[in-house]
Amino acid sequence: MTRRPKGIGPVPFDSSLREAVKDRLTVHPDDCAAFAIAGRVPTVVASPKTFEQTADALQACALEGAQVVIRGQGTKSAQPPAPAALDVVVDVSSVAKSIDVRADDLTAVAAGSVLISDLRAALAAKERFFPCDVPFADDATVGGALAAGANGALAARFGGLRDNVLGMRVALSDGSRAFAGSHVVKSVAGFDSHKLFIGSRGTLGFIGEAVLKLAPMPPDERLLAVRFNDARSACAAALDVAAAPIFPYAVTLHCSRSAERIAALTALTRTDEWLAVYRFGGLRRAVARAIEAVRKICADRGCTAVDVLDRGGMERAWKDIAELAGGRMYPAVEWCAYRIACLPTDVPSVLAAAATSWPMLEISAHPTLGVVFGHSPAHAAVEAPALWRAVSDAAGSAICTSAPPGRTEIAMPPRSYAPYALFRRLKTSFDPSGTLDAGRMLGAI
Amino acid sequence: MDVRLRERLTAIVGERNALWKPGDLRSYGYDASIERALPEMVVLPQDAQQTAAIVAACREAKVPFVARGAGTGLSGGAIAELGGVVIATVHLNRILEIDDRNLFAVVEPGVVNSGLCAAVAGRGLRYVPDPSSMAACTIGGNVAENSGGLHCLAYGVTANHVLGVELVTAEGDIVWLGGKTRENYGYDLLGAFIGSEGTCGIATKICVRLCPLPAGSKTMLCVFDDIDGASQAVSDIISSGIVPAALEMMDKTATGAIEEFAHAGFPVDAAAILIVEADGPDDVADEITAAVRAVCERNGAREVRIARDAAEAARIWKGRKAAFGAMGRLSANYYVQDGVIPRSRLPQVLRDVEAAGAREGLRIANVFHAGDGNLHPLILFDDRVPGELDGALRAGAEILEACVRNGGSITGEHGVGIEKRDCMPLQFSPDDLALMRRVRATFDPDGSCNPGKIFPTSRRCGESARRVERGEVDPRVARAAGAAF
Repeated sequence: MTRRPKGIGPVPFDSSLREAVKDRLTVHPDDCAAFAIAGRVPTVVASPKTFEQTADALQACALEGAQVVIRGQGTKSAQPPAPAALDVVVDVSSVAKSIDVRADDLTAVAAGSVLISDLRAALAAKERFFPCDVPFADDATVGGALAAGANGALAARFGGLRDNVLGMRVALSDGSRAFAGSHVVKSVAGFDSHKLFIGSRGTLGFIGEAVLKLAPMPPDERLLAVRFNDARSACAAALDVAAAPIFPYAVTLHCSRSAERIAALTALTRTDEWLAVYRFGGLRRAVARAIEAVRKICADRGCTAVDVLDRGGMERAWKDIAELAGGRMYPAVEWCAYRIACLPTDVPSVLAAAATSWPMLEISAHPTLGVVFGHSPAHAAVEAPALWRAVSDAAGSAICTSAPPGRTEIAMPPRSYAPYALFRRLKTSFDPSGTLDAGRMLGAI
Repeated sequence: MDVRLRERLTAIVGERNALWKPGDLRSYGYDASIERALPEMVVLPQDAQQTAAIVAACREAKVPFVARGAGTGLSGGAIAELGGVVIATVHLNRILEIDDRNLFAVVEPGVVNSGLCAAVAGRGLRYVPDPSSMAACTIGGNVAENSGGLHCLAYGVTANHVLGVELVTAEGDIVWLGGKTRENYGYDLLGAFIGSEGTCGIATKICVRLCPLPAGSKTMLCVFDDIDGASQAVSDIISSGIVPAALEMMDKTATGAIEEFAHAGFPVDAAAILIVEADGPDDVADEITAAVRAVCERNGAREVRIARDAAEAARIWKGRKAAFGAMGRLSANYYVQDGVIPRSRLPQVLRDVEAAGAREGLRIANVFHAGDGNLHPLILFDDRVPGELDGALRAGAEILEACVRNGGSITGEHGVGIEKRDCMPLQFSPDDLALMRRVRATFDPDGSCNPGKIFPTSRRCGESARRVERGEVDPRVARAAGAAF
């Protein structure tokens, strides 16, 4: 079948797409507007109910040369840049949801359409948890979270999403379906193709199902909040902790404006001071020991106040903290969000550059992972060459993760030494027709 | 081999680092598997630039190349089955950087695993993946195979500890996948590259993550008179939410051979033993060992012994690591399998393993990473006895079928290589394999980088092994046959 030129509308392939999704098409512009991607409204919204229907829908679109975005709950829809063309949104939020918790094996199989919040509830009922904290946890889907690839602070102890996803069932734009990876915690049979889909923003295919590695719910969990006069001391303490056999679950750092958003910790927050938060889990005795060890390290680094929250407090605080990494705390209609990666030792210089060149930036960080999150009111977003220079000097990189619709992205240019030729070849190999959200991956791929 | 290519490669690495006489090639014709095949030439580059030049020359001449570390692989991954050039990383053996604040090290691929561990231990750090061959195997080989080890139960496998690699692509370009930072934006090619068994290019620098050494550890020996009780205890330990640093299991056949060989203090009359390691300060490790003891006693353990000191713990672990070597006391040859199962299926699958051996009239010793569900049945046979090798291969295939039937994998850490490529269809459908081929084509469109590995031929599971050694295949003929081989 001859393909049409890309990105032209209105879409004339109603019949094949309609057949694929059993008539669940939305075409009225007002209805389609609710599915806009970075401000661009699709011509058609297709709503498959099954994995197979989704694969068929993608194939129908690819054969017609349509430009497609796969959308879960739309929590990442504000990530720029806007698609150059958008014909069809394949809305996978209605695809059948299933969760199979294999508690004895510390694994679970979840449909990509399952809400993270539902997954968490199902796991908690069996005293397990998926040790990756993703923003928009109440609304995001498993597939969407994986496609976004946004690792949270728990990566310090448990690794990132790619370390905790064992396998996937995927559909590509040419209609092929495949399973990649395995159902067990350890396998080296063939390529780990599934890892390519994590962070691919839906540009390689649809994540229909994921096999997740679980952790047992720890007997005890606590949170230690520590205030410092300056970010440099807080970062130094965090690196001291990381190099010692203490193994906290996570460490986060917040400027005072960011810290004020953590409801459970407002009593400890002071203007112009920095709040470091350590999360611990494990046996009661191990947690108590770890807290004492971190208290001492922080005292040696000159902290000004300390508080310990029990499990309930920890859970309340963490719900907010996870959202400070680019989630619901900063609605995209009003805020621009940036995610900066650098070496942990360069976090203080990046924070200093941010403070001087972009004073309105609200800062959170995962100091031991070398990740900094900056949020600015959209009206106060500025070009910040000093910040990007600091990131570049630190051999780091930065991306804009959300912005108000239609707003021109302000971010540092992508690194010149990333393997763009391999990226392009991968995209061509997995999505030969270039149907899936072409041009929006790093390097305009 | 074409003389012009030989001369070109010799000019790149120098006379001393270019081997092509049959006697010089012999030691590059095998690894720790039962596969054998001689390359046509071996080159030993000094750096990434030389490696890239070698790859470019091979590609131009349409000659395949195979990267090789220490040759400790267990699936034939470093065997140049189709002839061509072996690129040995023996000179790429420098530790380039240790950063004890950012907790990473940059090493060349020929650095020996235990050498890196020793280099960072003085700073209170460790590189966690610790395959049994860590005293000889290289980090480059570990990356190619995504190696595991005794402690990957709690700390993860190689893929969880590599931040980036400098890669010589199949076209001879030098690029970085990942880097020194924990986050990198763009497609996760690094995740797909690790474990690709040398089919996606050659890593010339590797940035690995370092972790603090634990504050202490305790080693336990749990003794069972009943193998079902031991395997049920493993299953119960994991399901109860205890994650020890290591959880290993051995059966009576294995402990008997090991005890004669290594004098580790294993009870030779026990049906099975578990070795459990708990990390942490004394009181924390005590809490873990108490929980493990309770589970083991509930499952009929007749004795639970905690090593009194570091010397006793080291003796126990020495015994575990000597297991494969000790098999020489029981039989002339052994064939090790590497299947993985969901841990809750352990009791059932161990019975299947026993039955597979019985059907072929062969003894099987079990030594394995029980906590991960990663089985290592050692099928004992004598190559001089007609039919025993074939029986061992059939038993191996049957065991892998049992693993897949129970929701597992054909390999947990040894890789597919040549040995298990024809077992891939047990676990993966043609569509699944087609997806892997797309990944392969991304990295190596011409298929010149370690060809013949991972992807199935037209043979059945268990039939691939030792085709070349048996004289069934001439490498040049096989190469001419291309991907169909």
